[in-house]
Amino acid sequence: MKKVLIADDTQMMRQLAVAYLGRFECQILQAENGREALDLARREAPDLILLDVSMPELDGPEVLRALQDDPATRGIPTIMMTGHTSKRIVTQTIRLGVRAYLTKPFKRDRFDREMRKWLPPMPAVPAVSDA
Amino acid sequence: MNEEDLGGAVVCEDDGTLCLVLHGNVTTRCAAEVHEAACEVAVAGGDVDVCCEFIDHVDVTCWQVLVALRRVLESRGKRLRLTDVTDGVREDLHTCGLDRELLAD
Repeated sequence: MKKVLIADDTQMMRQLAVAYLGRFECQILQAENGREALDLARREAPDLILLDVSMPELDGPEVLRALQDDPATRGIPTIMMTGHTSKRIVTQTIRLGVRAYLTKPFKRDRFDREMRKWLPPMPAVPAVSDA
Repeated sequence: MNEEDLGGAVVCEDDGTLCLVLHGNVTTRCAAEVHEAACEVAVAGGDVDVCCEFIDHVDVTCWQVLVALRRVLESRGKRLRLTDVTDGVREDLHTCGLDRELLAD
C-alpha cells in the first residue's frame, strides 16, 4: 500500500487532508512540523508528500531542499499546500522539484483530481445481497 | 503516473501584481486546473502576469484559456502579460497561431 506523508502544523488541515484521502487506498503518516516531516520521510520513504509551505522548525522549502539533497528521498514526489503565496516561493519550490500546488483551503474536486495522479482509489465495497 | 503528464498553474503574488505561474506540461490533463486559476485571477480585479519560465509545453487548450482570460481582463481595463517567455513557449504559441494574440503588448 502506498504511503502518503501529510506535513502541516495546522491540525485542522491535516484532518481535512486525511478525510479527503479516505477515497484513496493509502497509508497516511502525519507530521506537525518540518523537522518531523523530514525525519518521517527518511524513515518511512513515503510515495507522496503533501507539504505545507509555512511550518515551524523547518519550513516547506527547507524540507524540500533537504529531501532533494538526500539521494534516498530525492525522488519522492512532493505537492505543496499553501494559501496565497509569493512568486518567489513558488519559483523556488518548482526549481526544487515540486510537482503541484494545492491552494488552501483545498476544494474536494481539485484535491481528488491531484491525488488520482498518484494514488489508487479505495476499492469499491461489494453490495450485500439479501438472498 | 507518467511524469510527462505533469504540469499545472499556481496563483501567487509578485510585488503586488497577481501572477499565474505555469509549469511542466500544461495540457488538456490540467486544463481544469488552469481554468480554475484563471477564474481566480479574473475575479481579483487587477493586472495579471503569466510566468512562462517553467513551462515544458503548453497545448492549445490552455492557451485558449489564457486568450479568454486576456479578453476578460481587457474588457475591465486590465492587462494580461506573459513574462519569462522561452523560445520553446514562443514556438508553441506560433504553432497555435496565438502569438499575436498573447505576445502583443
